[in-house]
Amino acid sequence: MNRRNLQHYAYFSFHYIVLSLWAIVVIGPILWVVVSSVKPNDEVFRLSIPSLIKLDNYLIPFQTRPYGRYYLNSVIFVAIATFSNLFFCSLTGYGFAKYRFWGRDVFFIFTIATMMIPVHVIVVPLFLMFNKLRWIDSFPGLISPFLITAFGIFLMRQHARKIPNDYIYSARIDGTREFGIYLRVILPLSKSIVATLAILNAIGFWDEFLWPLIIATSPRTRTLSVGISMFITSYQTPVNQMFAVSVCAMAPLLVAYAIGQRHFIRSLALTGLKE
Amino acid sequence: MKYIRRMKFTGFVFVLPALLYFASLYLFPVISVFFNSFFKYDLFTERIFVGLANYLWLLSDSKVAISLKATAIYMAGSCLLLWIVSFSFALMLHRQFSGNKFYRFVFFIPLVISLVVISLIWKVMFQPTGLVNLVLGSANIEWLTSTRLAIWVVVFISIWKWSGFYTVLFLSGLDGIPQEYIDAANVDGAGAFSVFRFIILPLLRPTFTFVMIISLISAAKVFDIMYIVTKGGPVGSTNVLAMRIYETAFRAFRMGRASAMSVILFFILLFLTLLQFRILDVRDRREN
Repeated sequence: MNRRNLQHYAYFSFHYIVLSLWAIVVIGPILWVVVSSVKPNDEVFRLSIPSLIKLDNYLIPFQTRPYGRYYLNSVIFVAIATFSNLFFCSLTGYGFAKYRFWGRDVFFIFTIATMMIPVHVIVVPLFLMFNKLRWIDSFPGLISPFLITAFGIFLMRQHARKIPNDYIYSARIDGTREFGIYLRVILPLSKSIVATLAILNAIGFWDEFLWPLIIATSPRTRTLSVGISMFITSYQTPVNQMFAVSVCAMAPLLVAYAIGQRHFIRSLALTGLKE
Repeated sequence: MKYIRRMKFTGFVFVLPALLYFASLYLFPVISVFFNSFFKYDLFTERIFVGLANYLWLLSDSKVAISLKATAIYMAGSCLLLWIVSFSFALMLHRQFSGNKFYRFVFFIPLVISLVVISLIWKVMFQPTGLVNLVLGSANIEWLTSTRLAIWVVVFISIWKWSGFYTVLFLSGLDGIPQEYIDAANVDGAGAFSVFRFIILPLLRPTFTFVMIISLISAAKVFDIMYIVTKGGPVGSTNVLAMRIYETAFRAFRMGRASAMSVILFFILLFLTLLQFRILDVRDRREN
């Protein structure tokens, strides 16, 4: 019995040590960045409490560089792409789930097949195509590759299949038109999965880097992630200001995560669904 | 009859926008990437048909070989470590203990921070005068300029970012194992190790397969970390395929060569995806 207890304690102390170490590795840098973002620049590389709080680190990048513009561009990009996904993916998913039409299964497989083509493979032809359309450095060029995602359609179809047909039939008997059924029956029954897709999209699009880097060649359409990368490549900006902008970039999703942690995690777990 | 025909038409109309969208923004570009790979094209002059010259160049160019090697090392290193780390975390977090919720909250934080910001933070941390050396108490290790260490810094950053994601997937796999199986085994006198070896591992096989393929696919197309932290250096040791495609197309403006490399990346991803389908298929057949 005693030996068992000892083993138990040994395991649990090991357990807590490992978990705590990783927790420090995760939180440490974030805390350090937040603290450093209000430090004078010569104190950044020291582990110390700031000698004075310099809040103008947060103002200077937005005044002397177009970071306000980048931020706005990112918000516009994420908002349009996400809303477009919510609408088209739920509509398409419903169409695939509840209607029979010629070639449906082939079309569905075609849609799913595009999931394996990341933007990395097609950046070159997309760039050439948009160059011809004169869409370089424009919002249509920036946003259009992200308007519909195959994964979103897949997620929505899986959900729509579980909705009982009786709901649809009775709405039809009541004289609701087909699009009305989608709008007034299917969408209200899909609130939770729509929220899931919104979360996954917002995280993904806020993170998007390669395509904006290529297509957004001026501050007019440049997104925040590309703007931040320019701290290293073009601007000779003090580290503390760079961190201030990074904190601004992290803040919205971190706050949302802190509030809705359970929903975030459930959404991420759903990316693992296979059937 | 007329009604049914109208219904069929409605369904088709609902999926049509998405089909047109994927045809023009995925199918067409994929076809043209193959087409372009047989041409020499620099955006400013007319394109010239060069046959297989771009592919022959791929075979002979030492930088491409270095790039493929860097991609392979990164894929193997980051994926193996990710599997081990996130499976261990999932096993630990799956138990009930006080503080469980706190650790879960913390471990998943990196998932909502963009990779560009993460890379930037760690790039500063790994400077010779940076926090990593300070905490380790090590004398000015040149993490990012060492051909040996730089790739491991990149691997570490990818684990920092993604371990939470795969932990979530493993956790939901573990949640799917009915507690009765484990209880029954315990009643029969099975120890912790037997339960792990003969119940948990076999039942988690689908999760493992899925995690492996997904992580390999996402590792094959890694770009952000290298672009920010190392710019592909030192001496090409972190110059992965996506990075080379970017440089060839948008720094050197050699669209043909970049297209040929994209074709290679396409086939790597195709191979991994087919592997995934095959494994899932074999499993389905065994289950039925």
